[in-house]
Parts: sequence; structure tokens; C-alpha cells
Amino acid sequence: MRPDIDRYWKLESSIHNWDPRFKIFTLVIFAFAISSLHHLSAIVICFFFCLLLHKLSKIPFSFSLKRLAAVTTFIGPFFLIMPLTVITKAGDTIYYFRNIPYLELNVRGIFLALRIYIKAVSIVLVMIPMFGTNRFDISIKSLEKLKVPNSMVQMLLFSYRYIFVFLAEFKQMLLAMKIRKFKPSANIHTLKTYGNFLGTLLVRSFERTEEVYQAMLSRGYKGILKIPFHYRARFSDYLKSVLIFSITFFILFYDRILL
Amino acid sequence: MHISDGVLSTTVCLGSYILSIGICSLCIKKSMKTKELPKIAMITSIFFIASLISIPLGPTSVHLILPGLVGTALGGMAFPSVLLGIILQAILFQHGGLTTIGANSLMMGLGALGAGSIFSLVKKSNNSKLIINTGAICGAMGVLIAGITLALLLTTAGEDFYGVAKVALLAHVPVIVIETIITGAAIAFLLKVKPDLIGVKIKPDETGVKVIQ
Repeated sequence: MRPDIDRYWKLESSIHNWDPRFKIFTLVIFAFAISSLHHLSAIVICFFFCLLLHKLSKIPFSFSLKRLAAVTTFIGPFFLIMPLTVITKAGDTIYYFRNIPYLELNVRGIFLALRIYIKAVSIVLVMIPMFGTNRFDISIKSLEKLKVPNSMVQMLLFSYRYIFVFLAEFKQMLLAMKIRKFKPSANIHTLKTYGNFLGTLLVRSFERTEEVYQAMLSRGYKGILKIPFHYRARFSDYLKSVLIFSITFFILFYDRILL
Repeated sequence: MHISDGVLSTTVCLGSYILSIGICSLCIKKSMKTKELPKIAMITSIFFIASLISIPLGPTSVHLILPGLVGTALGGMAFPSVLLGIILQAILFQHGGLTTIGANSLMMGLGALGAGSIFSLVKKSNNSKLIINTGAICGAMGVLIAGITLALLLTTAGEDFYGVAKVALLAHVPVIVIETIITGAAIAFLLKVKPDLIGVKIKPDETGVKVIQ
């Protein structure tokens, strides 16, 4: 998986046209609403809506699939752990095994894990259009407009830039280690090698960033970064936000009051 | 280990957001220097990239989290760095989650701050062995604090998650061992090559490295 979430920022869609300030603000609140849902039916409805949102953004599904696979490997263990460990409550269906004592499978646990899984997948499906439809620096700049301090925004941008630089360095160093027949396994040698590897990466990166910083200073950097991009809120931006907010409201209403 | 979306209740999510933003702004107010900005950004990206290093362990593998190393390198600014790293991991890789950025940065960030405060005790020492050993302990402490915070956060999700919390805490045990050795080795390396990166002022002849003239 490559870190370029904004690979498809050049496409044209109604999500791409949405002002990034509105987009991030609205969709973050929407994500919180998803995570607060209680009932499986509301969560499933939300999931289909997120799928629609993703479809509208025209980002290829194959791009998101890798990210969804990462979430799956992350939450997968929940499906195993939850049925075995949840507290038994009245009305639970529990499976016992005749041959293995102490092993009880609680069906409620599977449903709990399923709820978490669908919520997490839905939020990933929201996050990809949220940050994938603008250039990353512009998304981050809109965070500044949403009152995130300038120093944090700058560090985010620097880190984002460095990730690509260091990743290239990292891959090169790994290749060099492979050429010297390094094969990671669970022993002290591997760990010490990785320790030295990290040290080398730190030293190299440190020297590089120092040089970049000197170059920035000599070009008049005074601690404030300006990105030349002008925001202009249009009627459609407000309309889209209002639409998402009303959907958020209806889903919460359905989840809390109707069910 | 990250907490993903949908596990924690909304109150806990929002509460940990507020708490971590509070700690972050306190840290910035207390120990932020504009000169250090690139260094912090650099450590943040290393923290991000370290999660891509995975070490095979039996049938599975664990990836590095390195709160200890971030803490030793940055001290008070470790918390903002971890927060940024978590934000980037969530946005770029969808590791963790959007609503749990607060919770995740709280657990790693507290680990990093704890490690940083332990390491600051020996920064002025001239004994390189002591510094390396403390660095290794910092590596362990970072993960230990992160693991405990993770377990505590999981228990807030309700009685049903006690089992998950226990499993998560147990899963941190091998990570503690791994990070102890890796952080120790990295600190030993930095002590020889570039001691000012971890804020140690040690004379070259005391590190056991001969300077070629």
C-alpha cells in the first residue's frame, strides 16, 4: 500500500467539487455519527450510504479495496475473541462443545464484532473520498481554516513530504540488507540489526532535514507556511453539507428513537 | 496496536480527543521551538514508517510502534509528534480510525511522554552504558504504558470488552521485548554516531569509538 491517498485528485465528481473545508467538517461529523450507532440495521443502512458516497467520488474501488483489506486483518481477530470472551447475558445463544470443556461460543459476540467491522469499513469508505478527492496539501490547509494551529499544519505537511523521501530511503536500505543475505526472524540478531537500521535511518533523515531547513531559512522562511490556494464557498457546497447533515440526523433519529 | 472505529463509545472518543488536544497544546506551549520543527516532523515520519517494519513471530508478525524512541528523541514534544503520526496513519493508511485518533494518540503519546521523562534523567550522564540501558528501558516503558492505556480504554467500552482488553494486553508482551532490544540498539547506535540527536552531550572518547584523524 502506498501512502498517496490523493492519487485520484484530478478526477471530476461532485465530491471533488465540494469545498475541502466543508467536506472535512461535514464528513468528520458524519463519521462520528456512524461510530455512535447502536442498531445493526441502522449501521447497515449507513454502510450502503457510504458505499454510494464512495461511488459518487469516482475513486476506483480497487484502490480502496487494499485499505479495506487492512481494516479486515485488523478487526478479524475480534470475530474470534469476542464470541469466546463476552459476558453471558440473559437471552444469549451459546454453543457448547461436547468434547472440549470450558469452550463456549456466544453468538452475541459475533454480532458485536460484526457491528464494529461494518462501522469501521463504513468510516474507511467515508475517509477515502474525504481525503482522496483533493490534493493532500490543500486538504491539510483547510484544516488550518478549521482552526488547527499553523505549527501543527506545517508539521503535518513536512511529515507528509518526508514520508515519501524516507520511504524511498527505507526501501533502498532494506534492499541493501537483503543483498547481504539479511532475513528477518525472531532472534536477537534481527532486532539489533533493525535497531541499527532505525538509527541509520534517523541519522540520514536528520541530516537531510537539517539541510532542507537551512535552505528554507535562506529563502526567507519565518515559521509560517503559506499555500497559495483560495477557497470560495459556493451555494452547492452549503447544499451538499446540509444534505449530509440531514442524512446524519435522520439516521441518528432512526437509530435512537424509531428502533 | 491501534483501536479502530466503532469500538469505543462516542463519549470516550470525544473525551480522548479533548484530552489529547489539551495535552498536545500544553506540550507545544511548554517546549516548542520553531527551530525544532523539522526535527519533530522527521521523527513523526520515522514513527509512521516504523509501523511498516514487521518482525515475524511464530505464525503471525508484529510491527514496531516505537513510542519509546520518539520519547527519547523529542522529550516534551513527543506527544504532538505522536498525535501527528497517528493522524497521518489514519488518513493515509486507515490504520486505526478517524474517530479514535484521540484515543490512539493518547495511548502512544502517554507512552512516549513517559519514556521521554525517564530518559531525560540520564541525558546529562557521561556513562554510555547507563544511557543505553535506560534507552532500552524507555523502549519497554513506552509500549507498557501504551498497552495499559489501550486496555483501560477498551474496558470503557463495556463488560463485553474485558476479554478483548486482556488479550490486547497479553499481545503487548512480545512487543515489549522486541521494542526493548530495538530501542536499546538504536540508542547505542545514535550514541556512537550522532549523540546530539537524542540530546546527549557525551565526549567522543567516552563512547568507546576511536576518532580517526
